[in-house]
Order: sequence, then C-alpha cells, then structure tokens
Amino acid sequence: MIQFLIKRLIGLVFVVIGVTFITFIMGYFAPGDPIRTMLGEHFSPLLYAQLRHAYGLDLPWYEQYWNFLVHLAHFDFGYSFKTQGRPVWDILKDGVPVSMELALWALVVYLLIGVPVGIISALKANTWVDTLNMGIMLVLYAMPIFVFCVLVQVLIVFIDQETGAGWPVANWGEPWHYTWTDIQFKLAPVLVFGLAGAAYFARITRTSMLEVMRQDYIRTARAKGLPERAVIYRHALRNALIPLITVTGVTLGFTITGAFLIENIFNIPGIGTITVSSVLDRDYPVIQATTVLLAFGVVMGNLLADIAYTLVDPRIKLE
Amino acid sequence: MPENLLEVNNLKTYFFTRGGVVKAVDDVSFTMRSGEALGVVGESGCGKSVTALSIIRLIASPPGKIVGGEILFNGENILEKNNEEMTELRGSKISMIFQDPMTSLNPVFTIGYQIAETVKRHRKGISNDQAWQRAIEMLDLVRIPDARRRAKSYPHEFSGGMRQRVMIAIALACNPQLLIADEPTTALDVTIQAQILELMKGLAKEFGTALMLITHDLGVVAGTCEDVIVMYAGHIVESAPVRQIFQTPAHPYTIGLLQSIPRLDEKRGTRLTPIPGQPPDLSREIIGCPYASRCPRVQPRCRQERPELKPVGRGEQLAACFYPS
Repeated sequence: MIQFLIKRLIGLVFVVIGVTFITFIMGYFAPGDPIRTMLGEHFSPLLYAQLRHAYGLDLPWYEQYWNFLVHLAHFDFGYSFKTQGRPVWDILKDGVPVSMELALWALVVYLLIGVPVGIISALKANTWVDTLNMGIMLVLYAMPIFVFCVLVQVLIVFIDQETGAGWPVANWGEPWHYTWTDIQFKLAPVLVFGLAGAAYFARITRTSMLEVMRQDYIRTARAKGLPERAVIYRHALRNALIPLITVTGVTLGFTITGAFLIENIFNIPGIGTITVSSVLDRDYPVIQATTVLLAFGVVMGNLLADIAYTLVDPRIKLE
Repeated sequence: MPENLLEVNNLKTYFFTRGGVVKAVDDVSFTMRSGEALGVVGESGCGKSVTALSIIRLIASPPGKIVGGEILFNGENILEKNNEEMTELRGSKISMIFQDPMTSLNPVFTIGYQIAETVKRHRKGISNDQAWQRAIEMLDLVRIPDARRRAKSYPHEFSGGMRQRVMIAIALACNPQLLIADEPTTALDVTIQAQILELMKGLAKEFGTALMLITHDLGVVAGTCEDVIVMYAGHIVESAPVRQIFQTPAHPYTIGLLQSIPRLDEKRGTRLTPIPGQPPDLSREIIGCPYASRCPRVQPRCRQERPELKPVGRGEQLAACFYPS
C-alpha cells in the first residue's frame, strides 16, 4: 500500500511536468505579449524592458520553464502579470474552496440522483419507465451546459417576476456557509452542474447493472431462495458499483477545477472563472497554476478510485 | 405423504421470441421418488435445462413462460405458488447447481458468507455465528481442506473444482429434498469430474436428497443414476432404468447417442459414429416424430403422426417410437 502510494506520487511529478510543459510551450508561442496587455496603449519602452526583465520574460524559453519548475518545487507559483506583484497563490486561494464546494455538492447530486435513476432503469429495462428516465437523462446530458445554465437563469428571473421571490440568478455567497441566503445562491448552480453529471452517472449505472443482472451468480443468488431485494441490493449492486468508482474518481478531478462555463455564467469566484479570465489576460503564471491544480485533481481522483477499488473488490490488491 | 417426491405432468415451457414461439419443453411428464437419482440426457437445446429451470421456476420471463402442465412437489403444484412461496422453497427444499462454477459464485463475497447466507435465509432464528459454523461444517463435508480458514477466502482464490464443491455446499446446506445439477461437471476437467460426481452422489445419499442430474454425457449418468430420461427437441423420447438404457436401448435416438460415445476397447483409428443432421428448429411446427429427419429407421408413418411415450414391453422402459427396438 505504502509502496503503491509512493509510486503514484512519483507518477504525479511526471504528470505535472508533462502538463505544465505543454501549457508553457503553448503560452510561449501564442501570439500576444502579456506586458503590453498589462501596460495598455501608452507606455515607455524603458518601463516595458524593466517589466520584461522583472518577470523573467527576456530569458530563453527553457530557462523560463526551468525557473517555473524550481519555484513550483517550493510550492511557489510566482506572481501574476495582471494584478501586478500579487502572488498567484493569493489569487487562487480564494477560488479553491469555492470550486471544491461546488464540485462536492455536484458529486452528491450525481450519486444521489444518477445512481438510483440508473438502477431503476436497469430493473425496468425497456419499459416506459426506462425509456422516460433515459430520455430525460439524454436531454440533460446532451444539452450544452451553457444553454442549461441560461435556461435555468431565465426560469429564475421569470419566477422572481411572477412571485417577487427575489431568488438570485448569480454569485455564490460565503464558501462553506449555509445560511438561507447562501443556500439560495448555491442551489441553482449545484443543481445544474449536478444534473448534467447525474445523467452520465445514470447511463453508466444502468449499463453496469444490466450487465451484472445477467451474470450467473445472480441466478445462483435466486436459486438460493434469496428475496429479490437481497438479490438486487446485496448481490448485484455491489458488483455494479465497481465501474462507477473509476468514473467517480476521474470525474472528481475535473469537477473541482473544470467548471469553467458554470462558474463563468453564474459568476462564481472559483478556479474555473480564474482560469478563463487569466487566459483572456494572458496571465501565464496563473494559467500554469490552474493547470497544475487540474492535473493534481485528476491524479488524486484516480488515486482515490484505486484505493476505493480495493475496499469493494476483493480481487484487486494494490501493488 | 404422496408417493412421488416430484411429479411433472405435461409441462410446456415456451419462449416467445421475435422469430416465433420456441417450444423448448413441449408436453414433458416424468416422476421422481424421494432419494432417487435421475439422469436427464440429451444434446444442447433439447430442453433439459429448461425443464430444470421450470421446476425451480427460474425461467427468464420474458421471453420464457410456462404455458401448461403441472409440477407437483410433495403433492403441491409449484406452478400455483406465488413468488414469496417460491423463494421459501428454493435453496431449502429444492436446490440447484449450475454448469460453470467459475461464474456461479459472487466475486465480492467470501465463500463462507455465501453458504451462511443460504442457511440464514431458510433457518428461522439462527444466529450469524451458527450460520457461519454451518458453513464451515458444509465446507468440511465437501472436503475443502482447512475449512475454518478457507471460509474467509473469496471465490477467485479457489480453483474450478473447489468452487463447484462450494456450490454443492450451498445447495445442500439446508438439507433439500431435491437437488438439480445442471451439467455440474461439464466445465471441469475429467479427473475433477469424477471426484465431483462421487462427492455429489455420496452427499445426496447421506442427506436423503433426490438428485436430478442433467448432462449430455451418458458416461456420467451410467455411474451416478438409477433412472434415465432421454430428451430430444423438447420431448422425452425414452425413459428407463439406467441398465436398460445401456443394454437394450429402444429409441433410435438413444441408440445413436450410445453409438457416438468413443470406446476404449475399439481398434485405433476407428471413426466416431455421429448422428447425421441437426435437431429440428423448435420455433417451427413439427409434424410427426421430431427425430424423423435424422432417424435411420424412419417409416412414412413417422412423418405424419407423433408417437406417444409408451411401454416397450420390458418392464419400466418407455419409448416414444412406433418401431422401438
């Protein structure tokens, strides 16, 4: 186990190097100049040169990248271009808890809605219940998330106008606080994000459950005289959830740092919003940092999935 | 107490598929006494497994459905029982063992748990600890060495033969009156086959359990069963005590099956004698004897009328043939 974790952490180092190298090269060769963006229309050439030097942008690309890695090893993401002199971590540290909160609640919705819907569909496979379930899920899954967001916002505005409820259409509230006002802010984005993912989980659960229900050991369980609910919830479900663990692990990483559209549309100050605005501002240090966070999230999600596997499936040992 | 443990009368199990109605079991009748060992023989698709699954009421529905007949178990018609009554019966009075032991056990539960679960289900008021003790006892009986420790193992840690022993342990844990074994040794290699059959036969005798052994291998039947039913295309074509089947087979299909068994005392290089042709398509209406198209002794009458299962004049031997040997 310890050995496995060490191997994974070493793997993480290489993943981070690979991912940051690609983003670095892309940023380096992309047209545009961050200092010019920073200074605006009118600036003195001297100031320009000074700033270039201060940010190390006058160095060759490999030295720039090397410096970045050295700083990263000290958990130092450097300084933002955009908000001059502000450490990157200072910008991110407010976004991380917000994005984690959004992601965790969305994950709860995935599991609490997606998994039961998938099970019901599988047990009623090819009946109208299944068709209706999967129809709704397909719409949720196929609809672009930005369309879904805007639809929900329009709906909220409509309800507000009709009833004078004053439900907020955007913003987030205090992270990890749950007063009524906070809940009002958080409910809509969590549901939108959660339902879109739940649709995916429902489909996977259905497929997996159908597969398991065909297995010989399910027939054995029935031949033993177990009541149907024991056959389903004890013998089938435990096996059907195994593939879901992988999906949950992979999704977790992306969910935390990848809610670009939702965060932007609902104006949520999370990592996603920070990433998008830093891309627009050519704020390379911030882009690099969010990329590292994304890679870290995905690797950690996979790691958790692997550990969870061993708890559920006795055939798998971590070595 | 009724005379027969099991009495199947005119059982019809059909499958309703897009390609038509497949009459997998069509008008099958037979009886079993308590403690008897009955062999059911026939090639793939002849309806032997469907007969077994009908008795334990585990036909996948849809598409399968028992459309006619009755199955009397201890004088009570199983087909009239509701689902709850059936789950009471399964695993306690009637148990079943399946063909492939590699996939018949749930991979995520321990062997001991899977045995104890059955005991716990059917013995009211038994504690978890007592059920576990019974599981260990059963593992001992099916000769799993070091049962106390092995009960905590998972199926993937067991070989195929050992898993089939575990299946036998599960099936017999509640002292059933009837054990249905559907090709229990087909997936195992020959040396293990003999051990498993021996074990199953011995335990069935010890427990006073009637054994219904389904197989396509007449050799398996010879050493294990007292009576034999030969099935073909959803019908019983011959039924007789085991010795008569081998010494004086009456139905041409039985004769064909016996001739197709390779023999040790044959000259080397002798070719096998297969039965030519294929079994009929069960989704089509069959007029006359279902074996007529492959029968070497076919007569015009065979193609027009279906022969009934009748005594052939040698005691208990019955055959569905107009011209039995």
